[in-house]
Amino acid sequence: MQIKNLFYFLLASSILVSCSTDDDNPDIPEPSGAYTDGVVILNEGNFGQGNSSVSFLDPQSGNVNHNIFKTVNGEGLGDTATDIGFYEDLAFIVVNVSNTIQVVDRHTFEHVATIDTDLNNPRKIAFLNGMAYITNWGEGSNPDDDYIAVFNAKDFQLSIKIAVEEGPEDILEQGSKIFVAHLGGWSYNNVVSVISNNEVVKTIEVGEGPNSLAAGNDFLWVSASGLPDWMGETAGSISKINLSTLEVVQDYTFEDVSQHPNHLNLNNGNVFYTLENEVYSFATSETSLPATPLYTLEEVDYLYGFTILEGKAYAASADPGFTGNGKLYVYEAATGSLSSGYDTGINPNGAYFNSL
Amino acid sequence: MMKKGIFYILLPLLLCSLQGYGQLDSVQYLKEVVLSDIHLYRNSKTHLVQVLNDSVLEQNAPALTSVLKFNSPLYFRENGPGMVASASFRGTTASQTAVVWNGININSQFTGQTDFNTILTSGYESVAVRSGGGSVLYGSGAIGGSVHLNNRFRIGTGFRNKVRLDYGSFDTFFGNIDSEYSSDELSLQLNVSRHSNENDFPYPDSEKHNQNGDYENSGISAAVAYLLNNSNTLKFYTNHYNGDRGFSGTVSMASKSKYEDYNSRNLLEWNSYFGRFVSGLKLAYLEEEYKYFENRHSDIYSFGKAETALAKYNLSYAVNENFQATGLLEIQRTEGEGSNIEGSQKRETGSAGVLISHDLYPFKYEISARAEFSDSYDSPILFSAGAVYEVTEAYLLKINVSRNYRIPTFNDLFWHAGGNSDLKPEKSLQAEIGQELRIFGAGVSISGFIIDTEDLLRWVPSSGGKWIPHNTKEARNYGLETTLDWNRNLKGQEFSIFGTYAYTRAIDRALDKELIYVPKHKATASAGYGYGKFSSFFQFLYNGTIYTSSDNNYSLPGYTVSNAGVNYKFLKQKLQLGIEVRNIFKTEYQSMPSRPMPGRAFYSSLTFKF
Repeated sequence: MQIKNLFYFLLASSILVSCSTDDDNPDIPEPSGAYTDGVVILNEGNFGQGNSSVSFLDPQSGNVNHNIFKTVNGEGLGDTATDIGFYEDLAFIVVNVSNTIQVVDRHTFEHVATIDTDLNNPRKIAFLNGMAYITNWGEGSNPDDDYIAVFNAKDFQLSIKIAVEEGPEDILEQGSKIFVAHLGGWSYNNVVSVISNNEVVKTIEVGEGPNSLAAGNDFLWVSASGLPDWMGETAGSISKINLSTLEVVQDYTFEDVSQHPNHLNLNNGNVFYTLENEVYSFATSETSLPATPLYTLEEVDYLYGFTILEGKAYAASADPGFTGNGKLYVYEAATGSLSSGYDTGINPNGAYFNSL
Repeated sequence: MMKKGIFYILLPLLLCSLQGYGQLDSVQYLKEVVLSDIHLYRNSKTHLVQVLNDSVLEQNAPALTSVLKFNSPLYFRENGPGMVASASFRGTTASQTAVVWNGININSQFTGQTDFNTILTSGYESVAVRSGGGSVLYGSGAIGGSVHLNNRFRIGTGFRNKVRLDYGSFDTFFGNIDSEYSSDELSLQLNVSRHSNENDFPYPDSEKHNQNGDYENSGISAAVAYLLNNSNTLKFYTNHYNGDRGFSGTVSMASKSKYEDYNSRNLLEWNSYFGRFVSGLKLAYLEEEYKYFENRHSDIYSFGKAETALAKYNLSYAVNENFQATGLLEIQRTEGEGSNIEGSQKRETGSAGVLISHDLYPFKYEISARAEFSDSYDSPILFSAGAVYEVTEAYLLKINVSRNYRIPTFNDLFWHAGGNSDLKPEKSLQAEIGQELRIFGAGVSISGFIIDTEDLLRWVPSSGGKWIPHNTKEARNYGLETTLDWNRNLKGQEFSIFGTYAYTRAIDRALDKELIYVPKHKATASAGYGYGKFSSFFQFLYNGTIYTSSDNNYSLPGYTVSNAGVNYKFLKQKLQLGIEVRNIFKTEYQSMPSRPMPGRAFYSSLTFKF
């Protein structure tokens, strides 16, 4: 209980710090470190080649430091890093193929711990009440061994494994609940699991291949890709779910079977998503999908990650050969005008904001 | 820097003086009866053909990988010892190297490649490496060149048997029985091998070791030739391979997967000689099957299975002693199915070709062309034209131009998650000039080549994240291949030296970058010394830096590896004991990223011939 209170205290104070940059508060030491205030770029690298890396972008100076995990710790990050989550002073990096989570100090990126047990094909991470929730596919070929691994975020001990349906991918904490999108692993699935008190309390049916989640203003939003052509191609969809009733209140279905939405974001009362390199947006109150894109990400070769924060859209672009270095392009989220572009490592899968 | 690099590689070769190509000559004069693939010798005069004989095969037993790695310009992508190994040369891709078994192309229908660690060399008396385009003769994939595994028959030599047992580091066991019998009309061969390896070598300079890399395989092959009468021969070849491997982990990845594969090849051949005609009919039936277990302790697996039936007919007519024309007809039908393929897919192709060879000593030329018809893709007209000019008895000049192709594989066309049935074959237009020099018993060959390839197949992700193959890239490859060999017997002391060097550039024309996994420099050198019952060898490999990313920002460093061995014969030379050390100097190297190769390892062998 005390730890929990401390957590809330830290959380509250950190919000204060970040909201008032000019305010020098002598009572709370400011987190310091080379990588404190900026954008962490996670580079997946190539399957089997152990070349995942982390780049750090300082938006003020525009400088990018590459390979910071290895620079700081001497050893490489591992094979196919799929997600990074921040919790208090720590960053948890999920390394899918290595079956590990590398825990580092989020300000210095110094290694703190490695979690290498009770993981099997870990994918994404979220935090709730001092616990880290990690989606695990289990074996891709086995539909019945998928689970959420719950670790204590302080001592990194396993708390519980929660068995779930096939292919848990994106995971989100919202209002003391954990929401899991079941993209489907090696196959396709069509549900969102709701976890409360370490139990699956509900599975909500959505479109095939739910790939991203966002929550805000009492609603959970889910984009689902739809099925690819070899499974009988279907159009994607977006679902709006009431967070109190956990019921789908609105389904937005795409017209053309070749439309497969991804990278759903909420920003300023608008839903953003992408269709290939096109960015679409509609107000959360709308009941139909926009017919035309807001803009196109012209510079992007292959969109591998897309995140909106503070009015900027961060688009991670993989190299066309998927073996070379990628790029991170920053656009004005509302207009799509390019503000800057940066080199990254191999196959960047997104921008993660390391700001307290 | 680069020039200096070449100099250091060439230096040891240059120091070894010059010598002849004895093996190739004797092979060329062998009667057709004993050969399974006449075209390799009769219609490949304008190409560089390198023959690796049985002593080389024995040094690098049991799989084809290390034979070629240490003795030819081919370079490998190898996921560790015994794991999947694909080979290419002249900067082409692995599926642009054809592996030809007794005249039949045996590259996988699924991947278009051959896994060289699944080809056991026991039972073959020699392996030939034919550089350059050969699609007219050998079909899809013969762009960089082709590797030939041919059975060879003896006539009237009675019983010959050989038993070999090996034991070595990391619990390596290998056993082989090779028997043959021949009378004046009948020749029989039987070969059985078994190989197993724990393969748990420690990673050099690390606490870790190679994990889940154990493998075992067995092979059985047989061949029969029967001389019906003076003008008809009947031959039958059969070859079966069964492999069971863990797929090893990497430095940063533990593995628990397993791969089982089974290959079987059967070929019936009937040759007739009447007057000026020679007729040859080949009927073949090939099977390949694999099972992939993500978790070897689970019974969940994915699989693929393909069956190919083919018939090849050729009729040659000798207008006179020096002018010969050959017509070729071929039909092939392949059926494949698997976890990742929708239903059962089939492909039917037919082709017709013509070959002309004309000897106008000291000048000789060969022209050939082939047209193919398929129900799955449109094929280009293939051709090859070449000439040889014997400037002096010791100096040959060769030139060759050809168009070759590589057809899309079953995976490219029918793979569930993105197979694309609109694919075109990869096409190449290529040329080479070669020189062969024989002087003081030494042989030197140098050939320069250029290959332009278009419609290169590449898997790229598209909307929804699925990977789909497209004909996208264009590449230009050029370079140089040289070989050198020398043998001498000095008062009973046998000396031999053999070396190869390849300089290769392979450029992605859209990016203007080097293609990945192509070493700019590759060199091999081997030296042998024998006296009486004692023999020894030393072999050396230099594999230059390779890029691992298409933007050429990432690379794996080059490396050298050396092996050495000694053999001693007992009991009237019937029994031979051999000891071999591989990677003597404990080089730390990787053929693929994140996959360290073994340090020093020891092997022993016992061979009994009777």
